[in-house]
Order: sequence, then structure tokens, then C-alpha cells
Amino acid sequence: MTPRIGLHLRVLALACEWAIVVAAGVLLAQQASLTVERQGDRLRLSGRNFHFLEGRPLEQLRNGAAVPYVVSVTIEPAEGGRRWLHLQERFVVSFDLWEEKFTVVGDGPPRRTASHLTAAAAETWCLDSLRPAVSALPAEKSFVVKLQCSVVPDEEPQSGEGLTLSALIDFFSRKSATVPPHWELLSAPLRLADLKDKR
Amino acid sequence: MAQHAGGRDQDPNVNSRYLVENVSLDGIDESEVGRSLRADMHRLVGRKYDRAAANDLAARLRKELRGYSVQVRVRRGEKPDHVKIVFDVEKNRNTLYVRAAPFIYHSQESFSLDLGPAFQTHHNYVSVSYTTTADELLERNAGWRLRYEHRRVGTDVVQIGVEYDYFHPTFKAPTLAALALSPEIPGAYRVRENFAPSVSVLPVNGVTLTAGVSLQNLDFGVPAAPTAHAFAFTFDAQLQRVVVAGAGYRQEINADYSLRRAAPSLESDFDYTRHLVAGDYTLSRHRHLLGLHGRLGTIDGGAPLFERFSIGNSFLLRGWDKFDVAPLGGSRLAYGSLEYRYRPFQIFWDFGSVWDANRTATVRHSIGIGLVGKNTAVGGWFVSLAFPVRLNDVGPVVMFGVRR
Repeated sequence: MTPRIGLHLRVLALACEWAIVVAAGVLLAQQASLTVERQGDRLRLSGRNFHFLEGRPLEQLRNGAAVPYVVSVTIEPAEGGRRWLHLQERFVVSFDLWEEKFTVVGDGPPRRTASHLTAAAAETWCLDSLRPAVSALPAEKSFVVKLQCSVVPDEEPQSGEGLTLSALIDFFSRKSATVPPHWELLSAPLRLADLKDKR
Repeated sequence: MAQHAGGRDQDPNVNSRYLVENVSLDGIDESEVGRSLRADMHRLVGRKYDRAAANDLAARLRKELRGYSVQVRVRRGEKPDHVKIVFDVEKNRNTLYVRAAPFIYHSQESFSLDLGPAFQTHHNYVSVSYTTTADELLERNAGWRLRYEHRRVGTDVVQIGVEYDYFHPTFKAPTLAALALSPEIPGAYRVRENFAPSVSVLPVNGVTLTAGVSLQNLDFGVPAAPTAHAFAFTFDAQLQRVVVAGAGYRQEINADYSLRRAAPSLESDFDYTRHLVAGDYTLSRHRHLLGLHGRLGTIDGGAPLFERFSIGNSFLLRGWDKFDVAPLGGSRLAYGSLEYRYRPFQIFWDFGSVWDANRTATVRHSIGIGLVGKNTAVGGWFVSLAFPVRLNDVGPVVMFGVRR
């Protein structure tokens, strides 16, 4: 092997290493993660790269439909066992066709509405609506926080025809129902004592 | 960002404050949808956008347009604070359904039915059906039909199809009695088999040209001549046009020319040429429809019974019994019909004749009333009560059913 070819190979190997490092960095930067902060007697959750206004639900929203989501927060011991806390709320999101902004209605109680939101602001508003109380958590035990979000599937339209031959054929030739979109994030193990109060 | 507490009954969809400017169908012509559903669609115009109402209409469209998928699309309107609703209709690529049409009851001919599964995938269509029909021909055809079509042979304008039929025809006493007195007409057969491959070309929208062959075997059950072949070259030209003019006028034109030529050169035992021209024209405006229908046909040569023209059924010369008109049909046909409809209510006047060459034609008339389910020239459900116009035996004929 001539020195010139060896140099080329070393440059190529170096370029590959850098490409791998950059790709890994990009992938890590795009990785969704859950951040948990303490704000007084409540925990505040924020999800980096956690987007549920995307894909098919976003297409439905841009078609003038209102899409119902269920968002839940579960806190359980890091070592496993019965959960300590579970909060859940239903939100209905719609996209204003004229203003091109999102409106979110939280079922509550109480029922609350936020309008003129960007997609990111609408997602944040939903997460901000679920703030677990610190008092429900033991101060010295480590725990994990699980954030889940799913689209509430449409109710199956009722034909009202009863058991007819065509209804049976329709039933058997129907494609299997698609699973509604679902998103989930899990925090790293945390301890209440380690969380700084960011009031 | 604006935040506020909302009422429980308030529609959570922010677009519900906008007015509907327009409702339309994309993918099919509006005439393919029933009038009541069309009216309900247009009833949304001028009202506040209601997604539940739009979804309900989409569900009704899916139910009515079997084999199609329907999606609701909503877009900004042309006017401020207005939206347009579009129902996107797309034919399902893989569809299995049961075809149960035509289904016809005629009080003198009893039931006629074609029933069986049909499957469509991509551009292929396959159907198998059991049929028992006594409406159109002089015989009651009971048997099986198997059909395959490929609806895109390299290009959208070429289609191929092949059909195989196996029938056990039965003939009524008036036909058998008349046959005994007409030795020039080929007799009654016990089995009829048909193999008919064809190629269709659709050069422009609404025009279909089909050429093929119809290879039919007739089993007469007679030891001297047990079977005979009716091998014919076939050609069909179809025209369908819908013209929507100003002031709400809509014209629909369907025209069909059919040629069948059986000749010894095709190894046929029969030698005949059959021409049939059919035309249907409707002019409608809002709830009113005026329809004109006509048929002209001629056969030269000795054609078997299934080729002979017959009137006095649920569609042609309603109110008459075809065996009273001509138990052996005729080699000439001239027929016309006028109808007026207001909503589903219909009155009609039919007139026409079938006769043989070198014989005198007798024109017969009938009148009737009915209900029809679809405001198009042909097809859809119907209920009719028709009377023959004559001095004796003016009994009503009741007909109902669904046509393709």
C-alpha cells in the first residue's frame, strides 16, 4: 500500500467517525425526553420533542375535525410496585381554518378553553393542565413519572340495519381497525428532595 | 393565547362558529346520490358548520355508495368566516359485495332475480350469480352467470371481459303452442350455454365501444338435432351524457346500439343479423322530470328465441302480458314511452309493437302510475301499476323491484 492510499483511507475513516458522531448527536437531539420540575406544591412536566399534534390527527384537524385526546400522568416507585398517583384529563383540540391556530378545550372540571395557540403551545397547555401535587409523593423515595397521550377512537357508526347479509359481508370484508395513535414518555428515576423549586 | 372557562354544551370545535358556504362531492357525479341525501347535503349551506352533521351525511353516503370510501374535507370558503364542505368519494380497491339486482316482481311473470357475490380488486372485477329471470325474454332463464372483467388493459381506455352463462330455460304454454304453428322459428331449447369474450374501448368520456363474440350452445333435447350453435359476432356502442344547463335544467341522454351477427362462417348453425337501437332522454328541473324512451330493432334471418324482441314486461309496454302481445316475440320492434315525474311520483304512457317481417304491426298502448327512487333515466327502485289500453280484460299489472 502506497503512503498516498494510506492517507486517503485514514481521511475516509476519520470522515466516517465524524459522520457517526454527528448522526448520533442528531438522533439524541431528536429523542423525546420528559423533564419534571417542582413549582411550589405541584410538579410541572414538559416534554422535549414530545408532539402529539402530528400525523393523522393533525391531518384530521386541518380538515376541520375536532380531535379528542386523553392525557395522563402516572407516578410510581422507581423500583416498581403500585402507582402512587394517576391524573387523567380529556382534551378536545380543533384547528381554526381561518386563523390557522389551535383551540383546546379541557373537559375538567372545570371545563376550560385556550384559543389562538400554536401547535407547541397547545401541547404545552395540555401538559400544564396536569400538575401532580407534591404532597402525594414520599420525599425520600425515588420515583418515575410516566406521561401518556392517546387519541380517543371514533365511535363505530351504527348502521341500524340489524343483521343483514350485506351488513355481514361488510363486517367480514372490513379492514381491521387501526390502533389509535399513542405517545408515551418515561422520566429518569427522581427523588422529590432532588427537585429544585422553580417558583 | 386566550383562556376562559367554557360552557358544557358549547361545541368544542372552533370552526363551528363559521357558516357553510358550499357542500360538494368530489370523485363522483352528484346524480349518483339519491335525491333526499343530496337535498340534506345542500341543506347544510347557510348554516353553522356542524361536524356531527357532516359525519352523519358521510355515513349515509357510505351506506348508499357501496364499494366507495367517503371522507369529509373542510376548507376555507371564498367569503370571510365561511367554510366549504367536500365529501371525497373514492372507489375502494378491494371490495366484496352481494349484487342483488335486477330484482323484479311482475304480477304476471312472478319474480326475476340476479343474486350473487361480486369482488373487485384493483382493476379486476369478478362476479358469480344465480339468476332466474322471466322479465326480458320469452323464456324464464334459470342458471348461473360467471363474469370477469379487467378494467384497465395497459391504459384506462381499454377493458376486456369474459362471461360464461349456463341456463335451463323454460317456456310458457302460449310460446310452445305458437311454436308448433311456426315451423320457420327455431324451437324451444332445454339448455343454453353462452361463452362471450369481449374488448371495450372508451375513446372519450361517456362513450363505450365493445366488440366480441357470443358463442352459444342450445340443447334442444331432440334426438335428430340435439344441439345447435349460435355463434355471433357482437358489437355495442353506448353513449351516456349528462348536461347541466342554466336555470337548474338537467338533461341525461343514454343511447345504445347493439349488433349481433351470426353466420355459418363462424361455424354457426344460425344465420341472422340483429340490430337494436335504444335511446333514453330525460329533462329535469328541480322536482320535475320529463322522460322519453325509445327502442327500434330488426332481425334478418332465422334467429333463435332468445334473440327475438319482446315487449309487455316491467320496462317495455308495461301493463300488457308479453304472451298476449306476441307469444313468439317478433323480428321487428318499434317502441316508445313518455313519462312525467314529480318527486318520486310517476305517470307514464307506453306504446309499441313487435311483429314479424311481412306481417302487419299492431301498435298497443298502456298507461300507468308509479313511484321511482332515483331521478335518472334508468336504474334504481320502482313500483308501478299499469293498465293495457284495450276494451276487454283491462286488468292492472303490478310491478316493483330494483334495476341496475
